[in-house]
Amino acid sequence: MKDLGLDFIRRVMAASAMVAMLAFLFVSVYYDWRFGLGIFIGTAWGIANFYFLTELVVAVFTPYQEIDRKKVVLLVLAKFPALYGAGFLVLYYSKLPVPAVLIGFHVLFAVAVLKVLGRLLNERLAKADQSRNINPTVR
Amino acid sequence: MEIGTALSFALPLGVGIAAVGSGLGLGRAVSAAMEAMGRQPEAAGKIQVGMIIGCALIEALTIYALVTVFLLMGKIA
Repeated sequence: MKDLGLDFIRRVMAASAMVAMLAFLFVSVYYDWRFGLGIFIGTAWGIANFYFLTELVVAVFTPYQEIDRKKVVLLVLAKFPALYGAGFLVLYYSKLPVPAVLIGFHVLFAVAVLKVLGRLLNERLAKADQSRNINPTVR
Repeated sequence: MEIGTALSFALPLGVGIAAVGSGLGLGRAVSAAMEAMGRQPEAAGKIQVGMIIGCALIEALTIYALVTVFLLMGKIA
């Protein structure tokens, strides 16, 4: 699959943020604002977790690159005590429904899987068009 | 045995087992990615993306266990 680089992860995070905002508005209006806020906070937590994980992997595991120790220490501190502590506080002390937070946490993975499936489908359709000598842009 | 007592034993044990499984999975995933990057450094970008998504999915399993514990903690008297 083409273009499955780090840009893909950034686009997944941006799309998840948009989905979270839409879900917050929709669920708040039609169901319960606490549930909507739970989904939004769950997604925000998932995006932050994914961001720190991405930065940590890129900082530590990029070949031919000097490791910036200060950045790595900051990222580890931000991800493990700070972010996980914030998650604990949200789950333990806030009155938000836990299933809503869990649904929000799933949004990122759902967006990533749907994006990959969409790309696969698009590539297959383009190949089918090529084999039939149809210009894929004129669908 | 009362349900509260059973849960107070089972919940920490469950999170512990989930954390061990997740740790083993992460270790395997990262070691395989390291090996792949060592063999093909020019493909590091693609390997990193696969590794990041894999790590996030593995990490999510432990978080599910943790959230389940939070949900069930209210049942411990």
